[in-house]
Amino acid sequence: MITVKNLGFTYQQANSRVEALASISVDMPGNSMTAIIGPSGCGKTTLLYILAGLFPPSAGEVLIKGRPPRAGRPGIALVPQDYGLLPWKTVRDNVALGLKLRRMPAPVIRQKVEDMLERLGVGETIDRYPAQLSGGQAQRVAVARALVLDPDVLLLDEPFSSLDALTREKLQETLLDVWTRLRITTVLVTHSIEEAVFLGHKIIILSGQPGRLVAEVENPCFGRPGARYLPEFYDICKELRALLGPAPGATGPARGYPAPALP
Amino acid sequence: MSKVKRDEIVAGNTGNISGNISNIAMNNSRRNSTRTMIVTIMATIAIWQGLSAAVNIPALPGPYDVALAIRHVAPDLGSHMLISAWRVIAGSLIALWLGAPLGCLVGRNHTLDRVVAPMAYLAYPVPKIAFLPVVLLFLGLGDASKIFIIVLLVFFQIFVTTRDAARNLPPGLVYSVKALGATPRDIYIHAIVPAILPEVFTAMRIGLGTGLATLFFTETFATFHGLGYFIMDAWSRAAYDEMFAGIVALSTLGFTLFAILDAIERRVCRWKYISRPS
Repeated sequence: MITVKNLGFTYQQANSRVEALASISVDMPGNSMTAIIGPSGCGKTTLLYILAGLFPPSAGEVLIKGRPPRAGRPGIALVPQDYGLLPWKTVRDNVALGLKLRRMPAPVIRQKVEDMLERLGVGETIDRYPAQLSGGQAQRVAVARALVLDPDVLLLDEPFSSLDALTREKLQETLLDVWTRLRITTVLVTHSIEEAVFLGHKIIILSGQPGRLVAEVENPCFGRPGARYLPEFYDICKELRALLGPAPGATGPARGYPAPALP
Repeated sequence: MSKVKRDEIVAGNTGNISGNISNIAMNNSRRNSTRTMIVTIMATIAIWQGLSAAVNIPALPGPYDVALAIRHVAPDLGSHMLISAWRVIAGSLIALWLGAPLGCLVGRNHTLDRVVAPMAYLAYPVPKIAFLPVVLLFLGLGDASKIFIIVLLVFFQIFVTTRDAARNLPPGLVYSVKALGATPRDIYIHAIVPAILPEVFTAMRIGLGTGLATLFFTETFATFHGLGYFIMDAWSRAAYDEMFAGIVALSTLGFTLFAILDAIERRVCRWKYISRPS
């Protein structure tokens, strides 16, 4: 459904060029959830913005349902990191904005916005401003703003990174529930291994500067009840950890330090 | 568990109630600010009275004498005040109309900024009053020259502030609006303009203050209208109570304009004045 072929991207600044992505080729299946994971600076957000049509590829191509993405094309919705809610608009106006830009009649917008906020459990926040929301509420509102557009493709950039651990797990489950009902093709960028394994049917690992494809992992735990408690869950986490580069000390005695002398 | 933690939890469970409380708090704070304002004004008058009594010279009349003078010259003073008000309001609005859009444009366009910024930085620090002779030569002795000086002065304040605000807009916000399908025009309407509005209001306040001070100066030259003329004329006649009547009128004009500006900002930038969860 989403095909990435030999994709490269270079940021052009006034007098510097930064290569962010190099020769990435990968498929992301339709009606499934794909997680992109990698260390900071590996270009995973850049990749997501290219999928959203915000940046044009510098090399290679991206096809979504056979067509190159274009920002604002009906069908692709993005939830940026830190949610991108406009501080000067109420929750209602934030969620309505995409529909308004599509020239939908006001009464229809009103109904859709109210329904979507209700469905995500944040109906009571409709007249508040983003600064009056908790992190979890802001996250739900941002997802509502994306889903109200009825997209075929949902792109999420580190959707849970600024939430506390309990809220994060709860919202990960909410997202999985929503996905199970709607089966929207979803791509999510994360730097958390557990999140990738919980929410990614396919997990794409990027690393380096510029970011290159390290591995693609099919995740058998995805969508299984109580996935977090399955033994395979830990196995895959371990596998990802190894692929992302072994942490010092994690795979045996740390190298470079002499063994302490025993008295 | 600490008391603070527990209070937070309680507050979290009573979202609606705390919403009502914050509304009441807001009404209270507005009523309080009105009361504070009255007290402050009365204190200013009291200090003035005290100073005037202490120095006891004709050049510093007390509030009571000045109040009598205001009653005496009211119709005349009123028309001078209206003329000054017209000049400063017209000048500020023209400056806003030119400065804010230009600032937006330059702030969002790096190439343009590289060309315009040096010009702005060269012209910004020059006291605009220094151009008065040239301006008088071209625009004559009437209102046009006085308004033009105010436009020059306020324009740079609004232009520079707006440009900085437009330039420092978080790129994530622009992308999020773009991803929703916004055209460049939509991005201006929904992201850039609302983001810079509070900064524009700040610039207007600063501009109005310096604008009024400059207006006073331009009105002391070759004119028989405006508060500047009124004050200087009273001074030349050693009519200190009338002179102070003019000063009171000038500060009342400034106060009124600031109050109007604040009221508009509260309405237009409502999101800036909401109570936030602590």
